[in-house]
Order: sequence, then C-alpha cells, then structure tokens
Amino acid sequence: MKRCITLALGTSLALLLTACGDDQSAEYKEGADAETMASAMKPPSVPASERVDVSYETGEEIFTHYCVQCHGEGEGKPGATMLGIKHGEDKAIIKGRDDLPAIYIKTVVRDGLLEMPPFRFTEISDEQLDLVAEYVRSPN
Amino acid sequence: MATTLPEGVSSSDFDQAIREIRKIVGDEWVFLDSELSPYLDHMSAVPPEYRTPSAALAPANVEETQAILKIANRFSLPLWTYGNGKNWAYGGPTPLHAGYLVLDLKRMNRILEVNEDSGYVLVEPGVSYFQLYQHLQDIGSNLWIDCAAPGWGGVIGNALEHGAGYTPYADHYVMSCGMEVLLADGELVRTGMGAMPGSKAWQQFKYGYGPTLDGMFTQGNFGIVTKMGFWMMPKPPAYKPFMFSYEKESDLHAIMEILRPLKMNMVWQNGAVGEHIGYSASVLGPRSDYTDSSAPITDARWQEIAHDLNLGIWNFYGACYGLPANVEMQFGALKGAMTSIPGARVWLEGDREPDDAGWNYRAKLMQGIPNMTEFNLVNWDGGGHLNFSPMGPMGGDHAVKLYNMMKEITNGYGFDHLTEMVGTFRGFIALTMVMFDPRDEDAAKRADACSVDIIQKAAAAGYGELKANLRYMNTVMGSYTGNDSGLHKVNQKIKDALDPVGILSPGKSDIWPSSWKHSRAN
Repeated sequence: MKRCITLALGTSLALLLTACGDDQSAEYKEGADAETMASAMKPPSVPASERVDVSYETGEEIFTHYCVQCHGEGEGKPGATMLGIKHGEDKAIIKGRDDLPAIYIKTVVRDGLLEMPPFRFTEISDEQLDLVAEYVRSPN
Repeated sequence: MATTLPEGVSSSDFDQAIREIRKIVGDEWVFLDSELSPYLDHMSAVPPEYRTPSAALAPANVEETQAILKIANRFSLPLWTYGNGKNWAYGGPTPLHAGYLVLDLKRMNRILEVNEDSGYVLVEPGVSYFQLYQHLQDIGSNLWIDCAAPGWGGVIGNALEHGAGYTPYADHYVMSCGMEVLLADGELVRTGMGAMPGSKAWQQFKYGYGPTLDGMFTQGNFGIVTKMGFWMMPKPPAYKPFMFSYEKESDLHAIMEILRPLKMNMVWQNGAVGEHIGYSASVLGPRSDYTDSSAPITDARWQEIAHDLNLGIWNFYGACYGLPANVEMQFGALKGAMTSIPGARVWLEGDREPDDAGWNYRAKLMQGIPNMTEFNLVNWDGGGHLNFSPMGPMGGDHAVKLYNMMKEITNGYGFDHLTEMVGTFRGFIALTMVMFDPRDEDAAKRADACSVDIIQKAAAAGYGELKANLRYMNTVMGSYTGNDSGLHKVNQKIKDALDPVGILSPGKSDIWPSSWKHSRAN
C-alpha cells in the first residue's frame, strides 16, 4: 500500500509537494531510527592523525596518484578517451605502451600537449618522472 | 627561453635576488628559462608566452616563504602565489603579467591534522583533493571530503577562489574554519580562535574576537594563506544519488521555480546541478562525436543527441543524505515536486548503464570521491576553455533570461553553448563554458571577445561574475562600480596598508597598490 505525504514548504505557498513512498520509508519508526542514529553517532574509532608528509617513491605510486585518473582503464578517463579517438583503441591506455619513447613521455608531461596540461617540478620531480616513464613503458 | 624580467627591476637586481633566494630554498627549487614551461597556460585565449614568468620559486615551509618575502620587498619583486595551480579555465599556474615571479606552494603539502571528534582537517596549500581523500581512506576515517569536479584541485586554493563541490558541504569557504596567513611584510597571522595562544577551538569556531578577517584573504592579494582548517562531513548512514531529466529546453522556467523552495528549505540538500545536454555530452565525448559542422550545434541537433544518449535536454543531479527513513521521505518529496513537469524522468542508482561515465562521476562527486571525468569536456574542441559564472537569484524568469543571453552570445561568436545551472541556497550560477581550439588564431580571438561580452552583458543585466580567468579580472571588477567604485577603493586602501610595494599578486581581482607604476592592462 502506498502512503502519500503532503508538505507545504516555507515561503512559497504555491508549492505543494506530494511525496509518495512505501510504508516503510514514509512512516516514522522510533526504534529503528534511534538504532541508526546511535550507530551513526558512535565515537570514532580513528584517532586524530597529525602531520602527514607525502612522498611517492615508485613509478607505480606516482602514476597512480598523478596519471591514472585520466589515463587509466574504465569509463570517464579523459586522456584515454582522447588517445583512443585519435590513435585507436589499442593506443588508448598508455600503461604498457613501449612505442612511446621515454623522452617523449617526459616532454609531454613537462610541456603539456593539446588537451593535456603540463606538470610542474614541484608535482613530479625529474627523478620521479624517470620512474613514471619507465613504469609506463614496462609490460603489463 | 630568454629571461623575462619583472617590469622596473634591473637585470643585476634580479640576478642578485635569485642568488639570495637560491640560498633559502636550494638551487633545485628555483626555476628559470626553459624550466618555466610547465608554468605556462596553453588553454586560454592568448598565447602561452604572453605570460611567461621571470622565475618560479618553491619554498618548503612558512619560514622559507618569510625569507623570500623580505627579498621581494627589498627588490620590489611581484610574486604570483598559488598552491596547486590546476584551475586551468582561470589561468592555471601562470601569472597575470609576464615577468612576475611565481610563488609555487605545492611543496607545502602536509596534512597537519585529521580530527574525527570534531570532523575537521587542517592542511597546507599544496594538498590536493586526491591526496586528502587517499589519506582519509588510508587511515580508515569516517569523514568525507567535498571536492571540485577535477580531483587534482587544491583544497585551500579552491576555497580561496570561492569554489564549490557537490555534497551538502559544497561551499568550501563557508565550510572553512581558521586560517594562518603571511602578510607581505612577513608577519604571520592566525584568524578566529587561532589568534589566542593555546587556543583549543581554532577549527571549531570561526569568529574568535573582533573583526572577522578571513574573507579578505580570499580571491584577493592581501596575504598568503599557509594553513587552513576545513569542516568535513561525517559519512551519513544513507546516501541516495538521483537525477531528474526533462525533455524540453523551455522546461527550465518551471524547474527553477520548483527548485527554489526545495533549496531554501534544504529539502534538496546539496547543490542542484542542472546540466544542459551540451554539458552532459561534452563529458562523454569530443565535439566530433556529435557533429561534422563547424557551426554551433542547433537546438534540433541537441534534441537528437539527448535522445541518443538517453538523457534530457536538462539533467538535474542531486542526492539525499541522512538516516535511511529520512532519506526515503525526503526523496519522495523531491520526486513529487520535480516530476510534476510533464515528461520528467527519474534516475536512481542502477537505472543508467553501468559504464555511463556521466552518472558515475556525479554519483562519486556527490559523496566526495574525487575523479577527473569532467575534465573530458576539455576534449570538446582542442583544449581551449574559459569558464564564466554569472550569478542570478533562483527563479524561472532569471534562469531563462540568463540562459538565453549566454546562448545568444556564445552562439553569436560561433561557439556551442555548454552550460550547467547550479542552484545554491538562494541563487543560481549559470556556468558557461567557451570551448575553442587555441591553435586556431581566429577561434582564440573570438573566444577572447566572447568572454568580455559575456561579462559585460551579464553585468549590465544585473548578473555579476563570481570568478574570472586572469585576462578578465579587470573586466569583472570593472562591473562592480557601485557607490563611486566604493568596493574598488576600499580594496586599494587595504592593499596600500598591507602591501604598499605590491609584491603579493599585484592585479589579482584588479587590486593594486596606489603606488603601482607598471602595467595593469592584460
């Protein structure tokens, strides 16, 4: 059975909202809500943490932090999408592409290329960039 | 690349200053000449070389920054400051004028505190959303972050630019609590409760005692924010993302009328993000996926695209948060109101295809999971993009007026109209994107002229701009001229008092010290 709730909201007298849900969602259940509330408000199990310094040491770590959100697998990756359109689906994912010379990878990262913006030395150092290029070119 | 000197600074003074700065930060953190390539903006309407800095400096901490400020004061060096430098639609890491020195705070990237009891974090300017999110995941935190759409953005930088996210904590400046700020003379200030030695509530209460200064350190150049606290939303027991889609362009009026009381009464808890189909399509693929024509995409073609993508002409994303029963009741109210428009459709988790990038990234953002999917829109037409955000009061008449105005302007300059309407508590932002190929000189010129037109026509109709690419800061501030330019005058008085030489980001938001004798036009 459906239950309908009508709410008149605030300053807009003209707007009447009709909310239709099932009994379970629309009805106020004191016991269940109290239990959920208690669970949500329980003391945190994680203590306060202080001062975290960041350093990404391996090519994979650096790639994962800076590159994979645009160049990784799966939908919604701008870099992979564009490379796939321009050069074919087999070129979409840069990880494992040994046809990309290391110097090319490093130049694109530093100078940017069309839709890809450049990355600064304060984001990825030269030493880290060497590791990234090596990681990108390494077999999957 | 030949060194471009700051205006009015001799080559010998510049060299001496650089020698001294090297001793402070170390040789490897001073960048000159060809090393400045990553500090150029390839995505705006002027060539990258237009704003070549003279140097980039990367201090590791407050003390090194203070030492740099002393030298900058002595040699009158203009420093252009930022943390992450990823706001590409607005200039990225490039300075307002060629010759400025970039003060790159990315190395100051420490997460100083995560407090689960009070639900806040204290961070430095180089901390990105990705970094903060990953850290909270690593320690098993119960706190959500609220991030901008591109997750590489800076937590502090975005808040200082009045940026927003997608959870109920979306207004990042509003959700900040407590700053540490370096002034141009090297003085270090903590705002709010942080001004008291041994304060126990710097990140719990904003005001402290006396005037509240935090706002004047945003979107300006009165200080360098070196630490900032942010309230973080505890993970709610229930989260329900949704999308309402609408068939007709003309539905916008009714949508915004219905949305207004929902937002005012906080029934719609987070930002109501209403994508026009053009915006939705741009996140899914480049322009060439949708048309072979160089002319702006027509209304009829947008209808076909909406049909093909199984979306509406308008697609409004939001989410409910809280206790499970409350979430269901709240969603019922939203559904009842938002589907009262004929043709409206409701989309929930599992209704879209599993690989629908549009739904997936919105569902992540609305629970504070950073990603880069929205940056796909940069692929639309060659990478050039300029964002504009004229602000109007929430309501049908204003929304339709601004939408039509922006559409007419962008189409008139030969660009597609890519927009999303973002409903805040009382107003809405008509986010308008000008997308172009920067390699096409004619397109870049049209984008430049289009940008000025957008700002000026919106302002003439009473809709002010919230933020601006470097090139248009003076155009925007030039529209805030009420009371004989009273706001501009008080900004200048503050600048004169705090930074009379003009070493901190001179010209940011068109704020200059009165003694400034160098270029202002950009």
